[in-house]
Amino acid sequence: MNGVKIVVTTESGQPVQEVTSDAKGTWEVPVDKPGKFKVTLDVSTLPADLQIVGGKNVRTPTVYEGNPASVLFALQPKTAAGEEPAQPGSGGSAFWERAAQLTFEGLNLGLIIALAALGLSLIYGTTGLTNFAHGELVTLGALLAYAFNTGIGLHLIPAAIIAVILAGGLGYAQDRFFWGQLRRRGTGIIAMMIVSIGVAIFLRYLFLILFGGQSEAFAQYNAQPGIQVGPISAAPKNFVAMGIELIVLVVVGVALLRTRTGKAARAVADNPALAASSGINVDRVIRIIWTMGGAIAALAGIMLGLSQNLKFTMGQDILLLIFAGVTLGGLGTAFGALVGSIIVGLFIQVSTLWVPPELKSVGALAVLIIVLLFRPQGILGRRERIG
Amino acid sequence: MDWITIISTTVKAAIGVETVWYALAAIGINIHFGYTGLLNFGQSAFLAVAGYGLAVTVTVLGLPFWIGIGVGLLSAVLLALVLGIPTLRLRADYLAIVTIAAAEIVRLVFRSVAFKDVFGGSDGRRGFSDGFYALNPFPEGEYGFGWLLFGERTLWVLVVGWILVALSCAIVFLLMKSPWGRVLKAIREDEDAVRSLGKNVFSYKMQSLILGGVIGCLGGFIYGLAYASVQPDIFGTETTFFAYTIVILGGAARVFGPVVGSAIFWVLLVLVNGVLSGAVESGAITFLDSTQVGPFRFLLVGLGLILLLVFRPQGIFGDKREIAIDAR
Repeated sequence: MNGVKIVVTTESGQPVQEVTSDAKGTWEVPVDKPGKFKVTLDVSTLPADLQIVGGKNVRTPTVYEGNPASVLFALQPKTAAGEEPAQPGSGGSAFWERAAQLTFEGLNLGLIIALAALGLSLIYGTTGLTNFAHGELVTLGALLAYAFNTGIGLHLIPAAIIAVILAGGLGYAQDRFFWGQLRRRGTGIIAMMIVSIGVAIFLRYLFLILFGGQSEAFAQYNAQPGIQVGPISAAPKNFVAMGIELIVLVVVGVALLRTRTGKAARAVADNPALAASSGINVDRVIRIIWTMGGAIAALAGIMLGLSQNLKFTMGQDILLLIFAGVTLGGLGTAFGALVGSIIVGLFIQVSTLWVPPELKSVGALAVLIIVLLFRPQGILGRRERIG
Repeated sequence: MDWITIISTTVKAAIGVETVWYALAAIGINIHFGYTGLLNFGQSAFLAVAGYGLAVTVTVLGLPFWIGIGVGLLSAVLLALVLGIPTLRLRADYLAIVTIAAAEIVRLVFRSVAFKDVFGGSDGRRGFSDGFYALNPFPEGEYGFGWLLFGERTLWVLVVGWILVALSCAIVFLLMKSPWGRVLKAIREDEDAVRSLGKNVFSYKMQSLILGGVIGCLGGFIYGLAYASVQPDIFGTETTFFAYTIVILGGAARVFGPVVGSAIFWVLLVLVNGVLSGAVESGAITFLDSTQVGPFRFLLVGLGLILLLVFRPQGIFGDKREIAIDAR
């Protein structure tokens, strides 16, 4: 419904914003912090022959951080006074529709986590490094793409391609000039883990200085109207993004299974000493994995930036989910990371059927801890991996 | 540049509230990581449950201050048990991931809208420190000399805080000289060897986790009392990481390492902030603006942590042979 006035205030009545619905009858009000808000529809701006179902023109949605809350005013033709409007039937079908929608969103998130987790898991498998800076590699990809996208003015697609290639190069450089040197010095695994924390802090604040603390969006594909596919409604960009993610994951998976380098990578991940003694150039394999890991982590960042917004903490925020996916699947295994990540993504979104959205990550992290209790080697890991 | 202000804030930082509560958190980590070799990345959760234990008991339940302290300590012990039972049998890197995940769970629950009535959401809780300041023996006024002045409330927090730091150091010193402490260090060096001597490694690790957690949680009290409030995001993973930086800077497995590390850490942060802000204002530095000075300091923290680990993992006072940085 076009031209209806909506007034949004905080719970205590402080005004936030007034908006007017657009031609499709939708409206959006950005709020700066989570909490309860009061949404009032100005009845006098409604066309004379329409009224709100149930007659209540005030809603009080609770907004959680990072999740838009939707407020729906159902309209119906005005009925004669005294006549009770028919209640629309709401029952099981609404629940299943929501479940389908959340499954789709969970799959989307799971695929993004999987992209990042694949690199993390392979780096762990080949070098023993639990890389706490991997989340920053995700942010790096998104911010590089943003820089080419809005800074230079490239369309997002070439910008993303350049960003992914550049991030791969930086991944290579990171191993060539930093982690590789540390390995040569004989730095211990735990020391390297703490070094990676230092790298994470360094990069995070570097991003904050260069990018600032605000949230941004890419120049293209920003606000797309949703399309309806079966019970699922989503912006077309999400379908395309999922397609790209799936293709990349399949290509990487096939490369790991079929190509010489892929087989070498899995051999090194399995047992570096044995791989070296059978003639595999371990350092070369590790460098390839860092390059690939950096590139697909960057892709994950770009996809994350498409479905949410860009922020300097975006990678840090999903780092623990990446860890959860990797650990769930089995540290060091490539395909375990895939399976684990998709389970984590699905679990997070689907669990919002029952838990408040702001606590959805809590469930995933709790599952991580429970899995470690009963099957510490993960779903696809082998028992001997845990000392 | 206003050197007097820079120097006075720097000197204040050396003995200030931040130094105290980070020192307490770091002493706890030193027991876990330095002496026992446990990679506990969830230290911030211990501070959080203590601070919130006190805050919620006093503000929501309306009970007296001392009961709040008791609740805080008890929740730290409980958290250690809950955290330790599933994780202490795991390898070091798994332990790190699980503890960091647990700390995030604690933080997310504290800041959630669902529990806003109890924990106060992202705004946290305030107004629970009156019982503490009622005990203040210092009459109103400014204490100190020249430009080194503290109000009576800050002085009271600092006195209590430094007494707690001194007590914690004494406890660590005595315990680590005892047979019990030698078992902890032996666990750090070779867990299997200790097990083969008939010691219950799990039980020792658990005791270490509880002791370090309880000492660390005192830092949560000091923070809450000094600022008369607790917010969930203060107790994020970065708090834990900064405390690790402090332990490594001062020297792990040294009694005074965390205390000296904390003082140096905050002195450097405040000094760099003062000098950089001054330089930006006077136009000597043009590649940063005044809002970027804050992040730039933490960028230096990250860089410092990397350089320390690479070139001097034993920190200032540590002994290289006593650092548990090689996984077994």
